[in-house]
Amino acid sequence: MRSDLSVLEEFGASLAPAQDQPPAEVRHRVMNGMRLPVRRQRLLSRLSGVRLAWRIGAPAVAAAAVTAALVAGQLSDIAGGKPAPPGGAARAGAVPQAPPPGAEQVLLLAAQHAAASPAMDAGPNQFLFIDSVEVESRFDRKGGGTTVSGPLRTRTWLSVDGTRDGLVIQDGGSPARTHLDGCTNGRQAQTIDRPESTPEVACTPEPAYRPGRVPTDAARLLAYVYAVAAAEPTWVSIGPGPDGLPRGYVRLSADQRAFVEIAEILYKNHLPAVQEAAFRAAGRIAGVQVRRNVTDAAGRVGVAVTRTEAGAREELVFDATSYRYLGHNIIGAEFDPRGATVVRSPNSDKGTAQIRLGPNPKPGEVIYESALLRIAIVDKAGLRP
Amino acid sequence: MAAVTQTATGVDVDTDAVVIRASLVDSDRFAVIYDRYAAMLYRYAYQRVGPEIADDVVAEAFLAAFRGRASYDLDRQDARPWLFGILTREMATHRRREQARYRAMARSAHDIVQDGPADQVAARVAAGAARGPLAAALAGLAPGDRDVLLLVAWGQLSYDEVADALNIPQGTVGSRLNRARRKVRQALGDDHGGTR
Repeated sequence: MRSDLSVLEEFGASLAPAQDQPPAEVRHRVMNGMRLPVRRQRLLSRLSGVRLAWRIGAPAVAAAAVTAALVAGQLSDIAGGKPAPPGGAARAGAVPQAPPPGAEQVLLLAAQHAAASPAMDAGPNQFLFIDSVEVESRFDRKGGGTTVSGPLRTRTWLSVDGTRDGLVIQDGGSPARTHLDGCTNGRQAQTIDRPESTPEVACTPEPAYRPGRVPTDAARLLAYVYAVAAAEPTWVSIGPGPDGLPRGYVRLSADQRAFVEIAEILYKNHLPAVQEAAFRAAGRIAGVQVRRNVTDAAGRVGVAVTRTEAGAREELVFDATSYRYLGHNIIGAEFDPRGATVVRSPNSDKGTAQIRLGPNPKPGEVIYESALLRIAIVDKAGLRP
Repeated sequence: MAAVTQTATGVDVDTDAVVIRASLVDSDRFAVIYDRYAAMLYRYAYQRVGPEIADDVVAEAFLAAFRGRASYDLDRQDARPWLFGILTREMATHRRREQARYRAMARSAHDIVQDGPADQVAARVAAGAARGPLAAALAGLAPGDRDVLLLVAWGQLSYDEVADALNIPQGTVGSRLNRARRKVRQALGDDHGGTR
């Protein structure tokens, strides 16, 4: 007598497709969907669940693949001076004077500067124009070498209320244009570069120049960045094994993730009240340090508040006199994974992973730098003030 | 000659875990996973949700797998249970449609035309006779029970692999399978009992 399972199997066989393989369009669709989105990870929306997804392939390979040697002279040329060597901060106190401000104090002064900055008039349908310069090191998987791109002039238009499509134009051999899908009626394309071919997902608008979901109160902003950090853990690869693939990953601490999140807020929302709250909140994160004579991507020397972990030093750079915010640097730092918990794969459904394809960055090497030149309000994306 | 053959076929012998790990930095490598499992997943989806949406669920399942590849447990050399788990979740959104399909089959079971070599026809007639009751039984199963039953019967997964795919304890696989099989046997008139 045949068992129920074998009868069921026969029934199943009668329902099977005539051809073995799915239609060629299915393969095409999958391969197309797997194409990496263009970089600009920082402007990717916070979409729970999908970020790891896209970012692991992309910035992983772009921004995070980042790690490696800066051609030392390149930055110096535009900087008019070498980046401060590791430990350079310790030597800053040579001139006898009042003790220089600590990290918390620098951030307080920066907050005061932001608070004193008049807010620009901005209508919800207008755009925030951000003029900036970026330096980025990239590892070429095929060639095996690291190149530094930049400093590249980068012009970004972000929707004031977050609902309209933005734009990024970065100079280079040929200017690279990136369309930023706005969060319209609560829906937004899942990738930033192929809005027409990827599914739309639910979103919350991220205003560039109005209070949105980022609080304008320091305590609440701090709680917000820690909530983001907890919801989106970040793993960093600890360097390649013999096969060139990451040997493993370590998880960034909540403090480091919160600090990085503040740098992202400073990049994406320029409302003085938001910036003020962000600086005050950063001062309450454990482990922040001050570092003097730090150069930004535009070659300006200032004072930085830094936090270092997993081989990368995140720097928020300020003008040393006015405490105006100049930009954000990510610089290679000493990394000893021996004390850390190393996992083979991030093994989580959410969060982001940064994969360093090349060797880990040496202390002092530039991973990424972005210097803010000016901001303005304009009527249309693509329009210069 | 044997050595040559081995070299020729040895190009693509990386385990799924190795391929998925490599795809983290070289996303094109994930195409290997598609090529290994597309036929298998397509057949299973086609059987369950039918030709109209099999394409969609298979494409979506592979893209979901691609996006979630960072969370793949690299200790598992074989990605088949993982992929079947993702496909099952994709198909869950079409549950009503799948059920309606089985109900329609239960109604139209007598329309099946048998054609082909005699021995196959005999087998098909036996299966054909069972078709109506089977389809009705599948329509009446709890979704979780149906997932387990069909992963075993149509997906050819072992109990361990089903537990892995659905992320449920093995004991749960056993109890769901028993319950589902009991209903199938009742539908078949209880003369198809026992083990195979």
